[in-house]
Amino acid sequence: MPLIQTPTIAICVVVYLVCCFGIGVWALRRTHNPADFFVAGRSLGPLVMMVAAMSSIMSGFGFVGGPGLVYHSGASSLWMTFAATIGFALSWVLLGKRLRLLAETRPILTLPDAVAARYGGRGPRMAMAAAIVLGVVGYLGTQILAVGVVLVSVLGVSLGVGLLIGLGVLAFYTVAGGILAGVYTDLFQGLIMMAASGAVFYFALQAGGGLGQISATLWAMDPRFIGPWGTRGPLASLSWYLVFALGWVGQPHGITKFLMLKKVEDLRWGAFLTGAAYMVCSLLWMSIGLAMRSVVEAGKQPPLEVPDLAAPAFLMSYTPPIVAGIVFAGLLAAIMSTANSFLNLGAAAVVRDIPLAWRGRTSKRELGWSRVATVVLLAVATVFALYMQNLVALLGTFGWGTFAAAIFPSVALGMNWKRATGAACVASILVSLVVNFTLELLSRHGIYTLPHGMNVGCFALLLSLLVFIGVSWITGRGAPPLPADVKAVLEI
Amino acid sequence: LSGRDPNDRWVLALFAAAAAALLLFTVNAWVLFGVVACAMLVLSLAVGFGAARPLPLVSALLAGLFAVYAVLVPLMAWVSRPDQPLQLFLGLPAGTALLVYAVWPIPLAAGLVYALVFRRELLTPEKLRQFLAGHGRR
Repeated sequence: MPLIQTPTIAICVVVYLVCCFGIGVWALRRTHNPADFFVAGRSLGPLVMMVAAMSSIMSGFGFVGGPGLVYHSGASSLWMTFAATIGFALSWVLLGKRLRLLAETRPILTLPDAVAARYGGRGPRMAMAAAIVLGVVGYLGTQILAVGVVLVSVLGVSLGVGLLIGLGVLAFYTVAGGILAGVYTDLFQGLIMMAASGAVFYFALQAGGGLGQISATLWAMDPRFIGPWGTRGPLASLSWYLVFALGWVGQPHGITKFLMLKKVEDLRWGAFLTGAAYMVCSLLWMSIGLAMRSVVEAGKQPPLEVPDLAAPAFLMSYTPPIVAGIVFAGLLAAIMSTANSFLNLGAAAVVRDIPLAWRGRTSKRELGWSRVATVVLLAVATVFALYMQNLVALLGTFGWGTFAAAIFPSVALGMNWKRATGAACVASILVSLVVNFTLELLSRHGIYTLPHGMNVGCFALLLSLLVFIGVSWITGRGAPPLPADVKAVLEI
Repeated sequence: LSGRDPNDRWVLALFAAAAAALLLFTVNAWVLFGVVACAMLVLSLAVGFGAARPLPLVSALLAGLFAVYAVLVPLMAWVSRPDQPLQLFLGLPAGTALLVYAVWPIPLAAGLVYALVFRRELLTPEKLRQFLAGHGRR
């Protein structure tokens, strides 16, 4: 049944879309150059930056896939979302100050800009841009499909019409206002997500008869399910924790927010407050999955056809329409804020990073071409999402792990260790891409799967880290000295 | 590697930990894998804190966080026995309660310590002024 038959839900979603449109109009008047488009003119205050970093990381996967994973595998997937508390701390401690200060010394608008400044030469910039483009295609494809599916559910329209509405709003505010529109919609979206998660946690406990009752029901079904490792097992859970914790530092849509901050001093409380805000959002991930599985086991609800229906089914059955409306708006918010960040990253890679790595210069009309690139990327990703769903799913699956394995060593370690070299940066990025892609492909075709539940991204991250440190060790002696400003950034 | 960068030894330790983690994974020694994985997180924090590492608050954070992780992972393994009758702790089985009430919130301490030492050591107003005077574009 389309949710439009529950008008409150449809009204919440439509109000949300109108607000996004309005923010796009506001940001259009304030976007005059590439710095405005890619790093919001370095104008963000601490609150906006923190909430934007949090909400761009909490994608549709967190609001739909997360509860679905808990419904299917129990506590295993909690290790992913619980990694946020240490992950945000690592991001701030390893990169916050250094990335932001580097942007004080040079015109740094993108992550490949920072990599080029750190290592020199064109290879590291090109390798980083390539990793970002590959990850962006996968992430964008999955977010685009999710936008369509949510709007089909809410408005009862066809997938084509749903995509037209959702992507139309997304395209407008991303093209018009670039990342400036993105971060202010992120702020709006982040606040919705937190309110929605807090409310859902309360209703989930109510539905399951309290946490103790939920635990008892699930224990009777399968003690492993509600045990700390879930049904995937301990090594899977622990490898998820490692790759998600270190991977937080490697998510370009999160760490580029450091470049947008107005004052470096405003970093101070970010790690703590962003981690705490993400904890609130994780309540939804945890509570819906456990409560829904509990009521299904207790016979109060028929089993779900697919685990990803856990969140929508729970909202329709156990929350008042206004809460369901806010959560559906929050869901759309989570998806669109991530899609906006990736469109911006992709446009930057295509218009700025790859030309700079290839020809050593960029277009004089960078802002105009960035807007064109955003539209083209959105169109290409939509075509991929609709007609090459296998490829999109593959790229989407390995997105987080690829970014973690490619970016953690080369950027997070590279910005803190003077002996890191450009050759090591390129080598570790290549290893991360090849290992992730090959193992995912082999696993999908049933040819080979890593034993003991080991996560592919975690395996690639460990290898990439070894390659990065090992190659730096070998090539460090012949490396050119660091420029004075980069040396100062690493030593401060 | 020693002698050129104060982070050399910590990066080497990270290298050793990554190699150990791969080895432990291949033999499915998952308790030790978990401890080593958590050690990698603490080592990464140590690399990021850099010159602030000797501060008592930062030293205590790094040592405390590693100690907590090193105890929690084996403890979770020890208390999570599916063949035992269910005993709830704040609404959850003991092992899951450790995950939800300890593994999840305790690392927030790292963000708190970061905030507390930020102006005192990580980026004092004097350091920032000198940096901008020497290297700032504006």
